[in-house]
Amino acid sequence: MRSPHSRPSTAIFGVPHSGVARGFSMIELLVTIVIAGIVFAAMVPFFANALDRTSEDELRVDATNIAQDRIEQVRLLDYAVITEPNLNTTSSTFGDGRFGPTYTLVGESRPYAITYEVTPPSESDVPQKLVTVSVSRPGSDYVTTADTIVQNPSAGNSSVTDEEPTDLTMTVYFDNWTYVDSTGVTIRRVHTVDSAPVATTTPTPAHQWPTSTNQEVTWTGLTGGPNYTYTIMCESSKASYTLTAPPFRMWTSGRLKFDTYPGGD
Amino acid sequence: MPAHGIRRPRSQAGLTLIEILISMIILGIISTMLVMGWINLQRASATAVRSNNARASLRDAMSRISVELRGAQPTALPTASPSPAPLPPVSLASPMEVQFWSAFNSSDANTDGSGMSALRPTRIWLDTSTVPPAPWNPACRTLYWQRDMDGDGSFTDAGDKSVVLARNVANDIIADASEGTAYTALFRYGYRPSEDDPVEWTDNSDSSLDLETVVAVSVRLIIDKKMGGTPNYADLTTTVRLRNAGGE
Repeated sequence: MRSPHSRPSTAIFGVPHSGVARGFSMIELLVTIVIAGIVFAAMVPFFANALDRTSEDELRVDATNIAQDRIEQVRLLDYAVITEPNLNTTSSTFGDGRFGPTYTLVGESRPYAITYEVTPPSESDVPQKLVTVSVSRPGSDYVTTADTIVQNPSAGNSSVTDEEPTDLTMTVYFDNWTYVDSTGVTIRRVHTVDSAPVATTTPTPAHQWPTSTNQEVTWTGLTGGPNYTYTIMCESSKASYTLTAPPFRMWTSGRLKFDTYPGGD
Repeated sequence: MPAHGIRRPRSQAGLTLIEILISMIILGIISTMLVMGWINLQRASATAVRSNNARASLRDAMSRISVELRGAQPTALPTASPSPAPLPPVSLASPMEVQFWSAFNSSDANTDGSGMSALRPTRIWLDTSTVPPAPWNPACRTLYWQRDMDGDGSFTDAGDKSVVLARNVANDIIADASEGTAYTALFRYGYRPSEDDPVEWTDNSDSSLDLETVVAVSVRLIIDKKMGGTPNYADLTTTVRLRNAGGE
């Protein structure tokens, strides 16, 4: 062992040595090696931890991917069946078997756990639903969630149907009926079906003529509402032009007057 | 003996030979442990880098597939004359291949305002028959994106485009227990048998699917992150709604 007094003074770079210079002792060397070993060993967990973090990131990416995919799957469902009991079912028939509480990636032994939360959980007649998908790995505290709002496709549509009024009557009277041309009075109906107008003449007979005993013409059994548009026409023998009641829709029975000789008698 | 101005002491007592030998042995053991640990860390780091790169490639491929499929178009505008009838966006559907009409990334996509003139048959397919060259894993296959530029039905003409989307794809060697198949379908197709029916899914391995009814495609891409040996898979899945499919 070296005594404190025997420690050599340095003679390097012009500094003079003392008379005796000794190296490290065995104990000093061993202590140094042990300390260095401990320091290096202490650094290993940092590297190992960094690798663990990388592995955890992969798990999170996988969990996020599963959650997003399930959101897309939910959005392909019909609105009415998006309920919490349905989505969390273990049945292999619901949603063509693409839902369920677990999902196992290829090459993995532990499945991911999946839970669905729907707000409100079971009601179908609501304007919108909030769907939250949570994906976690058993044994890990980390949970990935993804959510989406699904709008009710029929929200905003009126539940009241516009009933078509039927059996309506339209009466036309004249000033003066004698000037009504021999071609008579015509009523023309345009029926709009699936946004496509289809012209029909109805009802039969479409043509009528006023007479001395019945100076009015009347059509009965007409259907009103938004899908039927009517036009009434007649020729005036006095005025030599066509009288036309503009295209109109009927909601009630009505009467209208044709002036067959405007400005005349 | 003075050298460079350094004066040595008259007497220097160093370590004995035994001490030096013991120290060297201990140091050797510790050094070996450290070097082995360092090598293992290097290997682990290289594995992590390779895994991350493989996953990045996987995500890129999946992103490209999603974007293109989502924008697949029928061959005519809805208001166009019914003669000839427009073809549906998806023109071929099988477990390892999907063909569709796409104007994605086309420079003349809007020359006529509709993009119709730029539509080309496009396919994403797994070449299950060709063993990839080294260094790629020979047990796996390569996923391609290809576009038939002249519309002659062939994807391998001189002017046609071809891009490798992903390598080391393992879908055709991994069984799907839930579906009972010896492979894991790369593509599964969501369809509505009729307008009011719920969406059902098939990989269309029997080619019985009416392509007019396809409304979504589910893509599951599995790659082996290693070049050989014990496989280490990355498994990514996504579901794509076809924006221009009928009924959607």
